[in-house]
Amino acid sequence: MQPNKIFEIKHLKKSFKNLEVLKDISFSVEKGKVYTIIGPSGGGKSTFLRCMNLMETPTDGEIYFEGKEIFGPVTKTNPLTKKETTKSKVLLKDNELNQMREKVGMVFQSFNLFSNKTVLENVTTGLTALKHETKEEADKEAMKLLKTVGVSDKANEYPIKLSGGQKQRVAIARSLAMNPDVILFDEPTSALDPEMVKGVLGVIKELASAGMTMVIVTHEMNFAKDVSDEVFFIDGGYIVEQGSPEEIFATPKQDRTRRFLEAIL
Amino acid sequence: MLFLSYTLDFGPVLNATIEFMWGVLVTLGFSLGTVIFGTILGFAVSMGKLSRNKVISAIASFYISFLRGTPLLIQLYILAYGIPILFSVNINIYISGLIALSLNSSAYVAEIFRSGIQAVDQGQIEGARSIGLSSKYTMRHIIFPQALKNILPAIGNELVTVVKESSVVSLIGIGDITRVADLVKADTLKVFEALIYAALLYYIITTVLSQLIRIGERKLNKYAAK
Repeated sequence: MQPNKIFEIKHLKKSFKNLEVLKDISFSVEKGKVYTIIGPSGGGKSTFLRCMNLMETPTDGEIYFEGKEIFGPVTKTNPLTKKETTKSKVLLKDNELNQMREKVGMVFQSFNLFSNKTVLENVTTGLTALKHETKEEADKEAMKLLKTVGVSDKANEYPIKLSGGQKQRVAIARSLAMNPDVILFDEPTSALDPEMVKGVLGVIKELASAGMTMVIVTHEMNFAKDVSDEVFFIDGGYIVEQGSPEEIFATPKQDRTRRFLEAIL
Repeated sequence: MLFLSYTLDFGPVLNATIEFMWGVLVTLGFSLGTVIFGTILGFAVSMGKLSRNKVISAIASFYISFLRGTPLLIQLYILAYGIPILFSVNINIYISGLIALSLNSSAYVAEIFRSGIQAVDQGQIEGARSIGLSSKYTMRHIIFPQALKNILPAIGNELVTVVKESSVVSLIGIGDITRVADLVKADTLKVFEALIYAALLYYIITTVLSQLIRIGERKLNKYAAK
Protein backbone atom coordinates (compact mmCIF):
# COMPACT_ATOMS: atom_id res chain seq x y z
CA MET A 1 0.00 0.00 0.00
CA GLN A 2 1.20 3.49 -0.79
CA PRO A 3 2.82 5.48 2.00
CA ASN A 4 0.58 8.51 1.49
CA LYS A 5 -2.53 6.55 2.38
CA ILE A 6 -3.84 7.36 5.83
CA PHE A 7 -6.82 5.02 5.79
CA GLU A 8 -7.52 2.01 3.67
CA ILE A 9 -10.86 0.40 4.36
CA LYS A 10 -12.05 -2.77 2.68
CA HIS A 11 -15.51 -4.34 2.64
CA LEU A 12 -16.59 -2.81 5.92
CA LYS A 13 -19.83 -4.07 7.43
CA LYS A 14 -21.62 -2.98 10.56
CA SER A 15 -24.80 -4.29 12.12
CA PHE A 16 -26.62 -3.18 15.23
CA LYS A 17 -28.43 -6.31 16.43
CA ASN A 18 -30.46 -7.27 13.34
CA LEU A 19 -30.13 -3.93 11.59
CA GLU A 20 -27.44 -3.96 8.93
CA VAL A 21 -26.31 -0.35 8.67
CA LEU A 22 -23.16 -0.76 6.57
CA LYS A 23 -23.31 -3.50 3.99
CA ASP A 24 -20.06 -3.25 2.06
CA ILE A 25 -17.97 -0.12 2.11
CA SER A 26 -14.48 0.31 0.73
CA PHE A 27 -12.81 3.66 1.03
CA SER A 28 -9.34 5.09 1.14
CA VAL A 29 -8.07 8.34 2.50
CA GLU A 30 -4.97 9.96 1.03
CA LYS A 31 -2.84 12.49 2.81
CA GLY A 32 -3.81 16.11 2.24
CA LYS A 33 -7.14 15.40 0.61
CA VAL A 34 -10.64 16.36 1.68
CA TYR A 35 -13.46 13.84 1.40
CA THR A 36 -17.09 14.58 1.98
CA ILE A 37 -19.78 12.02 2.58
CA ILE A 38 -23.32 12.96 1.66
CA GLY A 39 -26.55 11.04 1.68
CA PRO A 40 -29.93 10.66 3.35
CA SER A 41 -30.29 10.29 7.13
CA GLY A 42 -30.09 6.70 8.30
CA GLY A 43 -27.99 5.74 5.29
CA GLY A 44 -24.95 4.86 7.39
CA LYS A 45 -22.79 7.99 6.92
CA SER A 46 -22.14 8.68 10.60
CA THR A 47 -21.78 5.00 11.47
CA PHE A 48 -19.13 4.68 8.78
CA LEU A 49 -17.22 7.69 10.10
CA ARG A 50 -17.41 6.34 13.66
CA CYS A 51 -16.05 3.00 12.50
CA MET A 52 -12.93 4.69 11.13
CA ASN A 53 -11.58 5.61 14.58
CA LEU A 54 -13.19 2.49 16.06
CA MET A 55 -15.66 4.52 18.10
CA GLU A 56 -17.99 1.83 16.77
CA THR A 57 -16.62 -1.66 16.30
CA PRO A 58 -17.45 -2.86 12.80
CA THR A 59 -18.89 -6.32 12.31
CA ASP A 60 -16.70 -7.34 9.39
CA GLY A 61 -14.09 -6.03 6.98
CA GLU A 62 -10.58 -4.61 7.21
CA ILE A 63 -9.23 -1.23 8.26
CA TYR A 64 -5.63 -0.13 7.77
CA PHE A 65 -4.39 3.04 9.40
CA GLU A 66 -1.07 4.41 8.13
CA GLY A 67 -0.10 1.01 6.84
CA LYS A 68 -1.00 -0.89 9.98
CA GLU A 69 -3.97 -3.22 10.11
CA ILE A 70 -6.10 -2.01 13.03
CA PHE A 71 -9.19 -4.08 12.33
CA GLY A 72 -9.41 -7.31 10.42
CA PRO A 73 -10.11 -11.00 10.34
CA VAL A 74 -8.66 -13.31 12.94
CA THR A 75 -8.87 -17.06 12.49
CA LYS A 76 -9.39 -19.19 15.54
CA THR A 77 -9.41 -22.97 15.82
CA ASN A 78 -11.81 -24.50 18.28
CA PRO A 79 -9.64 -26.89 20.36
CA LEU A 80 -12.42 -29.48 20.60
CA THR A 81 -13.98 -29.59 17.16
CA LYS A 82 -10.85 -28.40 15.29
CA LYS A 83 -13.21 -26.20 13.35
CA GLU A 84 -11.79 -22.91 12.13
CA THR A 85 -13.79 -19.73 12.49
CA THR A 86 -12.84 -16.34 11.12
CA LYS A 87 -14.11 -13.17 12.68
CA SER A 88 -12.97 -9.59 12.23
CA LYS A 89 -11.69 -7.96 15.39
CA VAL A 90 -10.00 -4.83 16.67
CA LEU A 91 -6.30 -5.63 16.39
CA LEU A 92 -5.03 -2.94 18.75
CA LYS A 93 -4.41 -3.09 22.47
CA ASP A 94 -6.18 -0.42 24.54
CA ASN A 95 -3.14 1.86 24.67
CA GLU A 96 -2.48 1.43 20.94
CA LEU A 97 -6.08 2.30 20.22
CA ASN A 98 -5.70 5.48 22.28
CA GLN A 99 -2.49 6.38 20.44
CA MET A 100 -4.27 5.86 17.11
CA ARG A 101 -7.08 8.17 18.20
CA GLU A 102 -4.58 10.91 19.04
CA LYS A 103 -3.76 10.93 15.33
CA VAL A 104 -7.39 10.76 14.20
CA GLY A 105 -9.27 13.82 15.36
CA MET A 106 -13.04 13.78 15.56
CA VAL A 107 -15.52 16.63 15.64
CA PHE A 108 -19.08 15.76 16.64
CA GLN A 109 -22.46 17.13 15.73
CA SER A 110 -23.20 17.67 19.43
CA PHE A 111 -19.73 19.17 20.18
CA ASN A 112 -19.12 16.96 23.25
CA LEU A 113 -17.00 19.56 25.00
CA PHE A 114 -16.10 18.67 28.58
CA SER A 115 -18.74 20.56 30.57
CA ASN A 116 -16.69 20.50 33.77
CA LYS A 117 -13.77 22.26 32.12
CA THR A 118 -13.23 25.76 30.77
CA VAL A 119 -12.73 26.38 27.06
CA LEU A 120 -8.99 26.62 27.61
CA GLU A 121 -8.91 23.42 29.68
CA ASN A 122 -10.91 21.62 27.01
CA VAL A 123 -8.02 22.24 24.65
CA THR A 124 -5.17 21.74 27.14
CA THR A 125 -6.42 18.46 28.65
CA GLY A 126 -5.06 16.34 25.81
CA LEU A 127 -1.81 18.32 25.72
CA THR A 128 -1.03 17.85 29.40
CA ALA A 129 -2.44 14.34 29.79
CA LEU A 130 -1.16 12.82 26.54
CA LYS A 131 1.55 15.04 25.07
CA HIS A 132 3.12 15.59 28.49
CA GLU A 133 3.35 19.34 28.10
CA THR A 134 3.61 21.57 31.15
CA LYS A 135 0.60 23.70 31.97
CA GLU A 136 2.38 26.85 30.66
CA GLU A 137 3.30 25.25 27.33
CA ALA A 138 -0.18 23.79 26.95
CA ASP A 139 -1.90 27.09 27.80
CA LYS A 140 0.24 28.93 25.28
CA GLU A 141 -0.44 26.45 22.51
CA ALA A 142 -4.15 26.25 23.32
CA MET A 143 -4.49 30.05 23.21
CA LYS A 144 -2.85 30.05 19.80
CA LEU A 145 -5.33 27.45 18.55
CA LEU A 146 -8.30 29.26 20.08
CA LYS A 147 -7.13 32.40 18.26
CA THR A 148 -6.96 30.45 14.99
CA VAL A 149 -10.57 29.31 15.31
CA GLY A 150 -11.68 32.71 16.63
CA VAL A 151 -12.75 32.07 20.23
CA SER A 152 -9.73 33.15 22.27
CA ASP A 153 -11.89 35.73 24.10
CA LYS A 154 -13.91 32.86 25.62
CA ALA A 155 -10.89 30.97 26.99
CA ASN A 156 -11.98 31.13 30.62
CA GLU A 157 -15.70 30.51 30.09
CA TYR A 158 -17.39 27.17 30.62
CA PRO A 159 -18.95 25.57 27.51
CA ILE A 160 -22.49 26.21 28.81
CA LYS A 161 -21.92 29.96 28.23
CA LEU A 162 -21.04 29.49 24.55
CA SER A 163 -23.17 29.54 21.42
CA GLY A 164 -23.25 26.42 19.26
CA GLY A 165 -20.91 27.96 16.74
CA GLN A 166 -18.41 28.88 19.44
CA LYS A 167 -18.64 25.40 20.93
CA GLN A 168 -17.88 23.81 17.59
CA ARG A 169 -14.87 26.09 17.11
CA VAL A 170 -13.56 25.00 20.51
CA ALA A 171 -14.16 21.36 19.57
CA ILE A 172 -12.12 21.87 16.42
CA ALA A 173 -9.34 23.49 18.46
CA ARG A 174 -9.43 20.59 20.92
CA SER A 175 -8.98 18.15 18.12
CA LEU A 176 -6.26 20.23 16.40
CA ALA A 177 -4.31 20.36 19.66
CA MET A 178 -3.45 16.69 19.28
CA ASN A 179 -1.79 17.53 15.95
CA PRO A 180 -3.79 14.83 14.15
CA ASP A 181 -2.98 13.34 10.74
CA VAL A 182 -6.63 13.39 9.78
CA ILE A 183 -9.82 14.86 11.24
CA LEU A 184 -13.24 13.24 10.97
CA PHE A 185 -16.18 15.63 11.03
CA ASP A 186 -19.56 14.12 11.90
CA GLU A 187 -22.16 16.62 10.66
CA PRO A 188 -20.30 19.53 12.28
CA THR A 189 -22.95 22.14 11.46
CA SER A 190 -26.19 20.15 11.81
CA ALA A 191 -26.85 21.28 15.38
CA LEU A 192 -26.03 24.95 14.72
CA ASP A 193 -28.30 27.93 14.29
CA PRO A 194 -28.28 28.95 10.61
CA GLU A 195 -26.31 32.12 11.21
CA MET A 196 -23.50 30.13 12.88
CA VAL A 197 -23.02 27.67 10.05
CA LYS A 198 -20.99 29.85 7.73
CA GLY A 199 -18.38 30.73 10.31
CA VAL A 200 -17.74 27.13 11.30
CA LEU A 201 -17.58 26.01 7.66
CA GLY A 202 -15.11 28.86 7.12
CA VAL A 203 -12.84 27.43 9.80
CA ILE A 204 -13.00 23.99 8.16
CA LYS A 205 -12.22 25.51 4.77
CA GLU A 206 -9.17 27.22 6.22
CA LEU A 207 -7.97 23.86 7.52
CA ALA A 208 -8.50 22.41 4.06
CA SER A 209 -6.40 25.07 2.42
CA ALA A 210 -3.72 24.51 5.06
CA GLY A 211 -3.51 20.94 3.79
CA MET A 212 -5.29 19.08 6.59
CA THR A 213 -6.62 15.68 5.62
CA MET A 214 -10.33 15.51 6.42
CA VAL A 215 -13.35 13.28 6.08
CA ILE A 216 -16.55 15.26 6.48
CA VAL A 217 -20.09 13.98 6.79
CA THR A 218 -22.30 16.91 5.86
CA HIS A 219 -25.66 18.10 4.61
CA GLU A 220 -24.18 21.38 3.35
CA MET A 221 -24.01 20.68 -0.37
CA ASN A 222 -22.48 23.98 -1.44
CA PHE A 223 -19.77 23.52 1.12
CA ALA A 224 -19.18 19.95 -0.09
CA LYS A 225 -18.92 21.23 -3.66
CA ASP A 226 -16.38 23.85 -2.59
CA VAL A 227 -14.10 21.99 -0.30
CA SER A 228 -13.96 18.36 -1.46
CA ASP A 229 -11.44 16.53 -3.54
CA GLU A 230 -13.80 13.60 -3.63
CA VAL A 231 -17.48 13.22 -2.76
CA PHE A 232 -19.12 9.99 -1.63
CA PHE A 233 -22.84 9.41 -1.76
CA ILE A 234 -23.77 6.75 0.81
CA ASP A 235 -27.23 5.26 1.02
CA GLY A 236 -28.63 1.97 2.25
CA GLY A 237 -25.26 0.89 3.64
CA TYR A 238 -23.40 1.15 0.32
CA ILE A 239 -21.37 3.78 -1.47
CA VAL A 240 -23.81 4.42 -4.26
CA GLU A 241 -21.55 6.80 -6.14
CA GLN A 242 -18.21 8.50 -5.72
CA GLY A 243 -16.34 11.07 -7.71
CA SER A 244 -15.12 14.61 -7.98
CA PRO A 245 -17.57 17.30 -6.82
CA GLU A 246 -18.24 18.17 -10.49
CA GLU A 247 -19.12 14.59 -11.32
CA ILE A 248 -21.40 14.09 -8.34
CA PHE A 249 -23.17 17.43 -8.34
CA ALA A 250 -23.25 18.26 -12.07
CA THR A 251 -23.44 14.87 -13.73
CA PRO A 252 -24.49 12.20 -11.25
CA LYS A 253 -24.63 8.77 -12.90
CA GLN A 254 -26.88 6.98 -10.47
CA ASP A 255 -30.59 7.52 -10.26
CA ARG A 256 -30.55 7.50 -6.48
CA THR A 257 -27.88 10.21 -6.31
CA ARG A 258 -29.84 12.35 -8.75
CA ARG A 259 -33.07 11.98 -6.79
CA PHE A 260 -31.33 12.81 -3.51
CA LEU A 261 -29.72 15.94 -4.94
CA GLU A 262 -32.95 17.06 -6.59
CA ALA A 263 -34.81 16.69 -3.30
CA ILE A 264 -32.44 18.88 -1.32
CA LEU A 265 -31.01 21.41 -3.78
CA MET B 1 -63.15 7.57 77.54
CA LEU B 2 -60.73 4.72 77.29
CA PHE B 3 -57.43 6.47 76.76
CA LEU B 4 -58.03 8.86 79.60
CA SER B 5 -57.59 5.99 82.02
CA TYR B 6 -53.86 6.39 81.33
CA THR B 7 -52.10 9.49 82.57
CA LEU B 8 -49.08 10.58 80.54
CA ASP B 9 -46.01 11.07 82.70
CA PHE B 10 -42.72 11.94 80.98
CA GLY B 11 -40.92 12.50 84.29
CA PRO B 12 -39.28 9.07 84.67
CA VAL B 13 -38.32 8.98 80.97
CA LEU B 14 -36.81 12.47 81.07
CA ASN B 15 -34.76 11.36 84.06
CA ALA B 16 -33.03 8.97 81.66
CA THR B 17 -31.99 11.81 79.34
CA ILE B 18 -28.27 11.16 79.86
CA GLU B 19 -28.74 7.54 78.77
CA PHE B 20 -30.71 8.72 75.74
CA MET B 21 -27.91 11.14 74.81
CA TRP B 22 -25.45 8.25 74.87
CA GLY B 23 -27.90 6.49 72.58
CA VAL B 24 -27.85 9.49 70.24
CA LEU B 25 -24.05 9.37 70.11
CA VAL B 26 -24.08 5.66 69.34
CA THR B 27 -26.71 6.10 66.60
CA LEU B 28 -24.80 9.01 65.07
CA GLY B 29 -21.50 7.15 65.27
CA PHE B 30 -22.92 4.06 63.61
CA SER B 31 -24.65 6.10 60.91
CA LEU B 32 -21.55 8.09 60.08
CA GLY B 33 -19.34 4.99 60.08
CA THR B 34 -21.85 3.19 57.89
CA VAL B 35 -22.02 5.96 55.33
CA ILE B 36 -18.22 6.27 55.19
CA PHE B 37 -17.57 2.55 54.77
CA GLY B 38 -20.73 2.06 52.73
CA THR B 39 -19.68 4.81 50.31
CA ILE B 40 -16.16 3.44 49.83
CA LEU B 41 -17.46 -0.08 49.34
CA GLY B 42 -20.42 1.09 47.27
CA PHE B 43 -18.11 2.98 44.93
CA ALA B 44 -16.00 -0.14 44.41
CA VAL B 45 -19.12 -2.24 43.77
CA SER B 46 -20.48 0.29 41.26
CA MET B 47 -17.17 0.20 39.38
CA GLY B 48 -17.53 -3.58 39.35
CA LYS B 49 -21.04 -3.38 38.00
CA LEU B 50 -20.00 -0.94 35.27
CA SER B 51 -16.98 -3.07 34.42
CA ARG B 52 -16.61 -4.43 30.89
CA ASN B 53 -15.60 -7.75 32.47
CA LYS B 54 -18.81 -9.78 32.50
CA VAL B 55 -17.82 -11.97 35.47
CA ILE B 56 -17.00 -8.97 37.68
CA SER B 57 -20.17 -7.21 36.57
CA ALA B 58 -22.30 -10.29 37.33
CA ILE B 59 -20.76 -10.68 40.80
CA ALA B 60 -21.43 -7.01 41.55
CA SER B 61 -25.01 -7.31 40.30
CA PHE B 62 -25.61 -10.32 42.52
CA TYR B 63 -24.06 -8.56 45.51
CA ILE B 64 -26.40 -5.61 45.03
CA SER B 65 -29.53 -7.66 44.42
CA PHE B 66 -28.85 -9.99 47.35
CA LEU B 67 -28.27 -7.20 49.85
CA ARG B 68 -31.27 -5.24 48.60
CA GLY B 69 -33.44 -8.32 48.33
CA THR B 70 -33.01 -9.68 51.86
CA PRO B 71 -33.97 -8.07 55.17
CA LEU B 72 -31.31 -6.04 56.93
CA LEU B 73 -32.23 -7.77 60.18
CA ILE B 74 -31.42 -11.20 58.72
CA GLN B 75 -28.14 -9.86 57.35
CA LEU B 76 -27.32 -8.50 60.80
CA TYR B 77 -28.15 -11.82 62.50
CA ILE B 78 -26.05 -13.75 59.99
CA LEU B 79 -23.06 -11.53 60.78
CA ALA B 80 -23.62 -11.35 64.53
CA TYR B 81 -24.71 -14.95 65.20
CA GLY B 82 -24.21 -17.05 62.06
CA ILE B 83 -20.64 -16.20 61.09
CA PRO B 84 -19.23 -16.59 64.66
CA ILE B 85 -20.68 -20.12 64.80
CA LEU B 86 -19.44 -21.02 61.32
CA PHE B 87 -15.86 -19.99 62.08
CA SER B 88 -16.08 -20.50 65.87
CA VAL B 89 -14.81 -17.01 66.59
CA ASN B 90 -16.05 -14.21 68.75
CA ILE B 91 -16.83 -11.00 66.92
CA ASN B 92 -17.42 -7.81 68.83
CA ILE B 93 -21.09 -6.85 68.40
CA TYR B 94 -20.12 -3.31 67.46
CA ILE B 95 -18.02 -4.64 64.61
CA SER B 96 -20.77 -7.04 63.45
CA GLY B 97 -23.27 -4.18 63.58
CA LEU B 98 -21.06 -1.79 61.64
CA ILE B 99 -20.20 -4.40 59.01
CA ALA B 100 -23.86 -5.39 58.52
CA LEU B 101 -25.03 -1.79 58.15
CA SER B 102 -22.10 -0.90 55.86
CA LEU B 103 -22.60 -3.89 53.57
CA ASN B 104 -26.31 -3.21 53.33
CA SER B 105 -25.81 0.50 52.67
CA SER B 106 -23.05 -0.17 50.12
CA ALA B 107 -25.56 -1.96 47.88
CA TYR B 108 -27.79 1.11 47.80
CA VAL B 109 -24.82 3.47 47.43
CA ALA B 110 -23.50 1.36 44.54
CA GLU B 111 -26.75 1.97 42.68
CA ILE B 112 -26.52 5.70 43.47
CA PHE B 113 -23.02 5.82 41.98
CA ARG B 114 -23.97 3.72 38.97
CA SER B 115 -27.00 5.80 38.06
CA GLY B 116 -25.12 9.05 38.74
CA ILE B 117 -22.31 7.97 36.42
CA GLN B 118 -24.65 6.69 33.74
CA ALA B 119 -26.63 9.92 33.85
CA VAL B 120 -23.60 11.82 32.51
CA ASP B 121 -24.05 12.48 28.79
CA GLN B 122 -22.49 9.68 26.72
CA GLY B 123 -21.04 12.37 24.44
CA GLN B 124 -18.63 13.36 27.23
CA ILE B 125 -17.03 9.93 27.02
CA GLU B 126 -16.89 10.09 23.22
CA GLY B 127 -15.31 13.53 23.31
CA ALA B 128 -12.61 12.29 25.65
CA ARG B 129 -11.93 8.97 23.92
CA SER B 130 -11.82 10.67 20.51
CA ILE B 131 -8.67 12.61 21.41
CA GLY B 132 -7.05 9.46 22.79
CA LEU B 133 -7.69 9.77 26.52
CA SER B 134 -7.82 6.40 28.28
CA SER B 135 -11.04 5.11 29.80
CA LYS B 136 -9.51 5.45 33.27
CA TYR B 137 -8.50 9.08 32.72
CA THR B 138 -11.92 9.82 31.21
CA MET B 139 -13.73 8.32 34.18
CA ARG B 140 -11.58 10.12 36.72
CA HIS B 141 -11.27 13.58 35.22
CA ILE B 142 -14.32 13.99 32.99
CA ILE B 143 -17.17 11.68 34.01
CA PHE B 144 -16.77 11.39 37.76
CA PRO B 145 -16.56 15.13 38.55
CA GLN B 146 -19.82 15.60 36.63
CA ALA B 147 -21.48 12.58 38.22
CA LEU B 148 -20.73 13.92 41.73
CA LYS B 149 -23.37 16.58 41.21
CA ASN B 150 -26.00 13.82 40.99
CA ILE B 151 -24.38 11.57 43.57
CA LEU B 152 -23.64 13.78 46.60
CA PRO B 153 -27.26 14.77 47.41
CA ALA B 154 -28.35 11.13 47.09
CA ILE B 155 -25.55 10.05 49.45
CA GLY B 156 -26.84 12.67 51.88
CA ASN B 157 -30.30 11.12 51.71
CA GLU B 158 -28.73 7.72 52.26
CA LEU B 159 -27.26 9.08 55.53
CA VAL B 160 -30.78 10.02 56.68
CA THR B 161 -32.04 6.54 55.78
CA VAL B 162 -29.16 4.89 57.62
CA VAL B 163 -29.92 6.87 60.79
CA LYS B 164 -33.34 5.24 60.86
CA GLU B 165 -32.30 1.78 59.67
CA SER B 166 -29.48 1.64 62.19
CA SER B 167 -32.09 1.03 64.90
CA VAL B 168 -31.88 -2.69 64.07
CA VAL B 169 -28.53 -2.92 65.85
CA SER B 170 -30.43 -2.51 69.11
CA LEU B 171 -31.55 -6.12 68.59
CA ILE B 172 -28.01 -7.47 69.02
CA GLY B 173 -27.55 -5.42 72.18
CA ILE B 174 -25.88 -2.24 70.92
CA GLY B 175 -26.88 0.78 73.02
CA ASP B 176 -28.31 3.07 70.35
CA ILE B 177 -31.40 5.24 70.80
CA THR B 178 -33.79 2.33 70.26
CA ARG B 179 -31.94 0.11 72.73
CA VAL B 180 -31.98 2.87 75.36
CA ALA B 181 -35.71 3.31 74.77
CA ASP B 182 -36.19 -0.44 75.28
CA LEU B 183 -34.27 -0.41 78.54
CA VAL B 184 -35.97 2.72 79.86
CA LYS B 185 -39.34 1.26 78.91
CA ALA B 186 -38.65 -1.89 80.92
CA ASP B 187 -37.20 0.07 83.80
CA THR B 188 -39.89 2.71 84.19
CA LEU B 189 -42.84 0.86 82.62
CA LYS B 190 -43.52 4.12 80.74
CA VAL B 191 -43.77 2.38 77.36
CA PHE B 192 -45.50 5.11 75.37
CA GLU B 193 -43.38 7.96 76.75
CA ALA B 194 -40.07 6.15 76.18
CA LEU B 195 -40.96 5.34 72.57
CA ILE B 196 -42.16 8.89 71.87
CA TYR B 197 -38.94 10.27 73.32
CA ALA B 198 -36.92 7.97 71.07
CA ALA B 199 -39.03 8.88 68.03
CA LEU B 200 -38.54 12.59 68.71
CA LEU B 201 -34.77 12.14 68.97
CA TYR B 202 -34.68 10.34 65.60
CA TYR B 203 -36.90 13.01 64.09
CA ILE B 204 -34.66 15.83 65.29
CA ILE B 205 -31.56 14.11 63.93
CA THR B 206 -33.08 13.37 60.52
CA THR B 207 -34.57 16.87 60.20
CA VAL B 208 -31.30 18.59 61.05
CA LEU B 209 -29.41 16.31 58.65
CA SER B 210 -31.93 16.95 55.86
CA GLN B 211 -31.52 20.69 56.31
CA LEU B 212 -27.73 20.41 56.25
CA ILE B 213 -27.95 18.36 53.06
CA ARG B 214 -30.23 20.92 51.47
CA ILE B 215 -27.75 23.71 52.24
CA GLY B 216 -24.91 21.60 50.87
CA GLU B 217 -26.91 20.85 47.73
CA ARG B 218 -27.54 24.53 47.13
CA LYS B 219 -23.81 25.26 47.44
CA LEU B 220 -23.05 22.39 45.07
CA ASN B 221 -25.53 23.66 42.50
CA LYS B 222 -24.06 27.12 42.65
CA TYR B 223 -20.65 25.62 41.99
CA ALA B 224 -21.99 23.41 39.22
CA ALA B 225 -23.88 26.21 37.50
CA LYS B 226 -20.77 28.11 36.54
